[in-house]
Amino acid sequence: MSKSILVIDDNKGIRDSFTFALEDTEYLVHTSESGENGAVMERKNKYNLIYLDLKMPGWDGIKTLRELRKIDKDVPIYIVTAFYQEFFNELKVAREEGLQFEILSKPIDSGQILSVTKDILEMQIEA
Amino acid sequence: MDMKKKRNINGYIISYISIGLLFLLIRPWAFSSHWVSSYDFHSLLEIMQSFIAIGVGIISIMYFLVWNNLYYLLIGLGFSIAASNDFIHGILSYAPFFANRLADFSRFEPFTYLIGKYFLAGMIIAAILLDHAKWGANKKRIKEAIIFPLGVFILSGSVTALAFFLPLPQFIYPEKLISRPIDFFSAILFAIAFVLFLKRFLAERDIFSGLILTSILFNCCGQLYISFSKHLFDALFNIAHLAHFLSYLMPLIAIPMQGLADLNIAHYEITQRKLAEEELKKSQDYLEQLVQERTADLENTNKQLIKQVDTRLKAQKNLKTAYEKLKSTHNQLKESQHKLVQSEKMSALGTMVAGVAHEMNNPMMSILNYAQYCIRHTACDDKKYHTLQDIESETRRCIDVVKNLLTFSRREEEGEEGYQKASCAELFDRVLRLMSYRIEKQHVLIKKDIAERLPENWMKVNNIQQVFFNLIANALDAVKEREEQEITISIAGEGEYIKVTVADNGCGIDPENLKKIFDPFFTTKPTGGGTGLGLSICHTIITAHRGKMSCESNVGLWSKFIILLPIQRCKENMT
Repeated sequence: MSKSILVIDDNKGIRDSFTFALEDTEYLVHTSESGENGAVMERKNKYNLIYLDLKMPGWDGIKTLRELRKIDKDVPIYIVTAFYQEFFNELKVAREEGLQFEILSKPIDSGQILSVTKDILEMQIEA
Repeated sequence: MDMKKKRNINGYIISYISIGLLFLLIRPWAFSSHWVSSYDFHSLLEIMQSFIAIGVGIISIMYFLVWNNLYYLLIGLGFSIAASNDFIHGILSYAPFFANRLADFSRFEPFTYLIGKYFLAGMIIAAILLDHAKWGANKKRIKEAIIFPLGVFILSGSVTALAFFLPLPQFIYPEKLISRPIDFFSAILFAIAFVLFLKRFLAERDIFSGLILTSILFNCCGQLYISFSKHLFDALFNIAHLAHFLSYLMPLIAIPMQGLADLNIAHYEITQRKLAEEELKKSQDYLEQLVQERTADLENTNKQLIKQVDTRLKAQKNLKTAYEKLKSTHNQLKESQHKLVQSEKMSALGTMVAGVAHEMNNPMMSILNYAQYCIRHTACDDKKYHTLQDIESETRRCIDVVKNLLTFSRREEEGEEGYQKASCAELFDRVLRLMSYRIEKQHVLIKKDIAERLPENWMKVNNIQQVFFNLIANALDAVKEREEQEITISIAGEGEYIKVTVADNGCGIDPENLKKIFDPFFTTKPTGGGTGLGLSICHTIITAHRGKMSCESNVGLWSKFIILLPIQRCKENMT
């Protein structure tokens, strides 16, 4: 069974970026335009990797992160954002609470997406 | 003359009146005395008055010499000549001398007496009239003053001489009331002279005039007496002669007395002058004293003024200094205000830029990935392939610009994390390796002057690397036109800092531009060549590290960028 990836971003371009970058891999890429829907999808499918945007209408990245961690506290979640600074304090609080996440700074190109994804998922295999 | 008027002469007037009264008292005595009616008494009086006349003449001439008024000379000569006429008359009438001829000249004898009287009356009237015409004060008329009386004298003398040979008419008419009418007529002339002289006397009120006036009165009286004389040598006849004697005596007294009075007046005048001079001197002294006082005052005032001026000058100096200080403070204030405004502007701009840059990150990431997707799905020989590649590279450029903007706005990586210890020398090596392609292509000689055993700096490696990268890139641009292109990198310790210098032998920087070199968006590179953010970002980064960055240049020769980067990082100082 191929590994699945969830991309939560309100911006279609970003969602497409991940889809296109990973189209020629065996990974299954699902996308969600909101945190609420993303949580529903995670509960249903149990993804191997989640790319999460921070600045979104409705649930923002932090809220979504909390909800996702309620569902699965081990799934690697990479926060992909250009607004790292704005959410710095909240992220700090979340990390202090023990919520696991990594940060990727926008913009990232196809190569970076591919290599980061591969690195994470292949490490999982080794593990 | 004013002085004379002031003198009290009432005493003199009283004495004249007394003499007159005395003379009147003589009359009863004369009528009772046999001796008075004698022939000898007459001759004695005639001779005596002749001597007096000589005295009058001498004194009048002296008087004239002293006072330079011909009036005195005329009066004096008048009297003296008239008296000398009487002298001839006296000799002629002296019986022992001409005893045998007396009978022959009995008619002629009174005639000589008459000529003297007429002459005197005429002279007095002439003198008064001439003086009245202001003639007397003119010294040039001295000849006339002498010739006139002399001429008259000679004339009268000639008449007298002729009388020796010619028979003369009867003078005495004993049967008439006025027995000698010609004498009476001369009395009238004296009366006229008296009136004229009285006017002068009342105007001048001097001793001279008073005595001459008395003299005229005596003459007048004498002639009146003789007018009633019935025969020669009777009492009236001799009293008349006595009156004449007194009349001649008067000017003899009058002239010296007037002289004394005048001298007195002169003395008085001198005294007055002296007094006046003393007064003058006193007032002069007073004035001098005043002048001295005023001068002292002035000097005092002057000193005070000088002091005041000094004080003013000092105050002015102080003011100037204060003004200069104020000016410099003002300038500093202006500068800091300018900086503040600038930083505020930059802050606002930074906020805005940061917002825009972040918002652009999403679409740019999308564009970049779309382009890459398209490239992957396009054959290399497809004519769209290169265009898509251009889209990708241009998008990356956009991303770079945005990244630079974010660094500049200091929104990126503002936190405490990211600082680590690193060696500037190693960082430079890395930067030079990254740029080795361009350095080799441009044939630039890189000189390194790096001190040994330098401590590492606390820094944000990426940022400092970006600074070095920018500096080398700029230096490479600057030396592009040179034949021998050189870039010198020197690193040395300087107190708590590491001093990094990047020097090039390029085109240099205009002093005008040197001021604006760290301003954001300032660039001299052609459009598309640079964003004008490079040095501004460098400056921002170094400042964020609590370091210092400066630039020196000599246009056409070299440029030098100097960075002072603190070795230790003081967290409290960080913002």
